Amino acid sequence: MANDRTSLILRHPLTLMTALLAVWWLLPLGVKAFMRLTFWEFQAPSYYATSHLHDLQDYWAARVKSKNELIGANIDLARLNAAYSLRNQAAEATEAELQRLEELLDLPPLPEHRYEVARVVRRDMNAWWQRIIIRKGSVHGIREGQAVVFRDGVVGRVSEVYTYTAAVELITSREFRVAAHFAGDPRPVQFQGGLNASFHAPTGEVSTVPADKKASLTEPLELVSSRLGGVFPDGLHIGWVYQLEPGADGLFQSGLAKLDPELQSVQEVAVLIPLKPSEEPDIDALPPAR
Amino acid sequence: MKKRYQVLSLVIWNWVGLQIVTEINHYLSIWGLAVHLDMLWIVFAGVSLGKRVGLAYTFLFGILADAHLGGPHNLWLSIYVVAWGISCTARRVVQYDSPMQIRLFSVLLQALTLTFLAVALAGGQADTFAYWQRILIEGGISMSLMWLFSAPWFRLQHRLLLTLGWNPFDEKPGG
Amino acid sequence: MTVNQPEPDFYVKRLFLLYGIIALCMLILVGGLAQKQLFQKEDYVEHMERQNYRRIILPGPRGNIYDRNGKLLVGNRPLFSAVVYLNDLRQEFREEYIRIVREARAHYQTLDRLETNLVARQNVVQRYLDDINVILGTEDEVDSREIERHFSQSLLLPFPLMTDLSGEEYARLIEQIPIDSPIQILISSTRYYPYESAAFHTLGYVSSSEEFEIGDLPGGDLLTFRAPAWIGRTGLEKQFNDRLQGETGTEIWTVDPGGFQYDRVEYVQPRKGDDLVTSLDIDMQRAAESAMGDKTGAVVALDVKSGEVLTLASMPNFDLNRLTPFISYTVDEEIREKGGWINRAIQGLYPPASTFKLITSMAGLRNGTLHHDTVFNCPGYLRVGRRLFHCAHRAGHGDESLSDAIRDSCNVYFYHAGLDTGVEAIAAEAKRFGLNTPTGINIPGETSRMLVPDPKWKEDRLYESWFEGDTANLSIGQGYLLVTPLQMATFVTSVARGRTNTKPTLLHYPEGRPEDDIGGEAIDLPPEDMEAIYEGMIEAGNSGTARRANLDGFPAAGKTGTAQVRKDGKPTTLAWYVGFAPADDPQIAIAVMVEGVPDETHYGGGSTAAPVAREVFRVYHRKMEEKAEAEAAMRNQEVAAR
Repeated sequence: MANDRTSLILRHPLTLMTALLAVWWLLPLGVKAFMRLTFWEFQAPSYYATSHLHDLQDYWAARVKSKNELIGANIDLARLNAAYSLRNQAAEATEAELQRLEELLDLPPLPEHRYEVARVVRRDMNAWWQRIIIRKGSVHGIREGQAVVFRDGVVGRVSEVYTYTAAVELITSREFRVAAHFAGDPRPVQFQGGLNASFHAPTGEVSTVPADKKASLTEPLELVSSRLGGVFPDGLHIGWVYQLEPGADGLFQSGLAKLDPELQSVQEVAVLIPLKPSEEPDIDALPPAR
Repeated sequence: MKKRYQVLSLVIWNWVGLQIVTEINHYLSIWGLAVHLDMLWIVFAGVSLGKRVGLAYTFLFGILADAHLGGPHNLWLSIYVVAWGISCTARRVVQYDSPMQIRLFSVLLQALTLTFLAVALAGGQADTFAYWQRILIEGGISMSLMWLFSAPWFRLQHRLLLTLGWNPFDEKPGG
Repeated sequence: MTVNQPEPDFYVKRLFLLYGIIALCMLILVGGLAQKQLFQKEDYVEHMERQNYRRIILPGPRGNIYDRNGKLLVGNRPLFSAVVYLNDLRQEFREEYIRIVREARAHYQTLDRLETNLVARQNVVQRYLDDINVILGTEDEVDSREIERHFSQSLLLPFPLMTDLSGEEYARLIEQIPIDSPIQILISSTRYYPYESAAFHTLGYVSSSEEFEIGDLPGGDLLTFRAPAWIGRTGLEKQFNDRLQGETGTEIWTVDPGGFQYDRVEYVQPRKGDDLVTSLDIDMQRAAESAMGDKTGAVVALDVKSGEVLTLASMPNFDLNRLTPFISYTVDEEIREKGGWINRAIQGLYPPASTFKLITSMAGLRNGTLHHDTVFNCPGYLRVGRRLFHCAHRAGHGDESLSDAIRDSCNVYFYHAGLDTGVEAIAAEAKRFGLNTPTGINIPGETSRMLVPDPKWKEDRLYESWFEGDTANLSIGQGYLLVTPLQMATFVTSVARGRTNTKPTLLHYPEGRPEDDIGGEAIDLPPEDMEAIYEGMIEAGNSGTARRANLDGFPAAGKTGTAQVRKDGKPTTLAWYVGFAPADDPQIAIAVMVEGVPDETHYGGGSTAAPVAREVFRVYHRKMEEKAEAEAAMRNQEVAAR
């Protein structure tokens, strides 16, 4: 009788559901984490496949272009290349000057990074979280917490690392907080992502801005990353601040930073992997992105 | 074919569906949009399958989705299991052979899920206009898509099982 | 077999009785409930609220203090702290407690429940502090007594793990501590002094306190916790504490029976206090302090027209930033050793020496015993009774008129003038100029022990008669006479204004200060008499003892003084300068006092104090010229625009 009653109770779907959730809840965290990891890795090949499918799409998109279009694109690229090689020379000269000054002032060298370029497998962005999955993982030296950048500045921070893939929490995520500063002003301010209306460029909140800073539509302030936080190198673009409002304490202002809309369609990023002092950055030695 | 393979086939079928939605969201992100069609994967199991089989399916699919989708750990597993519980309880009311009822029920369940997520995960954004605007836009699009696809997807799942030699509707309720 | 069965009626009766009793009980219960719900509801609601709600008082940030030109003298700087709300750690406390208990049981140990609770809390909080230690490379440890004190007294307030974080530490923590961590980075404010030690005594310092006015805020009857506020302890910070103190805000939280908060039901935002615009000119203040160097003394400069204090310096001074957020023992010791806590400008009492001769002159002129053309011969000394009173110029000045005597600071002339005039008249004149009462300046701590002696005072206090020698001494500002540098500054301002009194203020009146507030009445001496005094002071600046105070193009009228005193039982001198400038249209008046070093008597009014005044005059003059140039440029622009 008792058995029958038990099985009767268990037959009710809500009881079954509660029982299952309770059992799951009671399982040790390690077991659950292991299952999550396993199921991720189980699905990872499909991510790889999807990503390669994207590449294939790009390839065929290029194939259907006319020769004239391709020649035009090639000329544009050549111009860009020329411009970049000039800028590269200027950057090398600046770096040499910096190094000379650092030696002169006996400053410790700034932490160096190597760039691990990675394709974006999937963009997973909605009102609650903003992340991307990239096609590089722990075997490529990627670790949790590393900085991720793209051609227009800061992208985010590595939040989960798997063998051949990793999840990156985007700068547009509510959970993303970073120390930043305004270009030309080393005082740290706080940036937090998370205001992403549909059909608009993403925005984030800037706080602890010193009271003497002024921003306007015609003279916006550029928010860049700060090396003080220990994760990002200095000076990478985050966004533009067009308006600041004073806080009640009279000490600080806060405002909104408009981020780059490209963040929503990012296809390729670079993970900044800190170098050990003995290592030298070697861009040519980087594995190809695809 | 053993039932466990049939259930596995259903998991794979829906997982492909999930991948497609993920892929759509990948491209929609350019406009700051995402669609949420989670109940497509659950309603059939809740309304049509036997309780134990249905729950086993939901649990397996939940773990897969949890690893695949963002959000707090175990969020999707919990949501799917609860949604399954509700669907299963509602099977007395919801006629599996009535596309209209399946549509209505799926949209309702999806709306409940979105409302729960919107409130539970709002955090500091709860008092911002941008957040609720996005929720409304995404919710509206998701509900419309749900209305369009819930019944066909339901039928496709049924066909899949039929092809595999299993008609769950022939079984006694509670089997 | 038959059994005696009671009648059915019997049961029915019993049942009715039972029903009756139950009904009565129900009636009592319902009645009681109704009484509580309907009639005593408010009492119960209030009681429940008191039990379930807690109020946190949040002080508003203090207002800024500016100088008369809008330069920030005291502002707020952010104070970044890493804190945890112990409330958020409840679950972890419990888990840690269970872990400790289990571990002890495994080793067959018995534990004290209270002690174990303490250890559990300490372990958990230390774990979070260790997170910070890892990020910052520090090795801080939590103090279990602090946790307990916080737990019992201010559970609803954040528990500080690390305070006064640098910009870099702040940046590291916000970046590397997850947003959902119980560790939060809190920003509060503390006082900041951009000019560091300038106007140390005048501005004053603040200290943290939980004792402050909270005003009319909701939840007055609730159990209240107060976040500490900055309260002014000295100087302007204390005097204008009410104005500078921000409006307090409040948070009301519902709490569970353990006192842990779980929901904020009301929030009133604190507001920043009002700003204060002082009459100080920070450039002049710094010039004065810089000219004083490491000497001990005071400099007070006033705006002649308004009585606004332009400079109020007391030396030695110290960097005010070292006094916030708290005064360390070493800083306190350092200030104490150098005698830096005393505001010499308003608390230091000194004989005014020869600067007092101006009072003696006016007393004589008012009394008719002295005239603007009265001449006395100075052979270098004067015998009064059996004692020989010397002039500073031992060889003697020869025949001297009043203005000559002021220019040369001839003692013998004023011995004659004083003895002729008499102690009562001199004392009356000093009192007329308010030298026997505090000036009433709006800064706390002004002494009231200043002294203008007369025969009655001497008899009452020293049980001695007044001698002629005392009068001679008084005539040249020596003896028992004691005044503050501020008093001498207001005195010389009054002389420049032609009034008997000037009430100084540290507030700036951009639209002009009402004449009635400045105070005083006309000196009421014939113009030629006053002219003689002014002439003497101008000549002192041009070629006399006060010439080192003069600037080219900005002539001052001044009077120096050098008092013979004993400091730490050893003889030394006090150097004085009082004066105003420009001599023909007085704008600024100043008093400088420099304390000599024990056993060294080389400080003199002309050589030590006058150059300090010159540096203040220099800044004032430069600013006057700049202002005139700016006004001229503006006029030219306006003409060009027309």
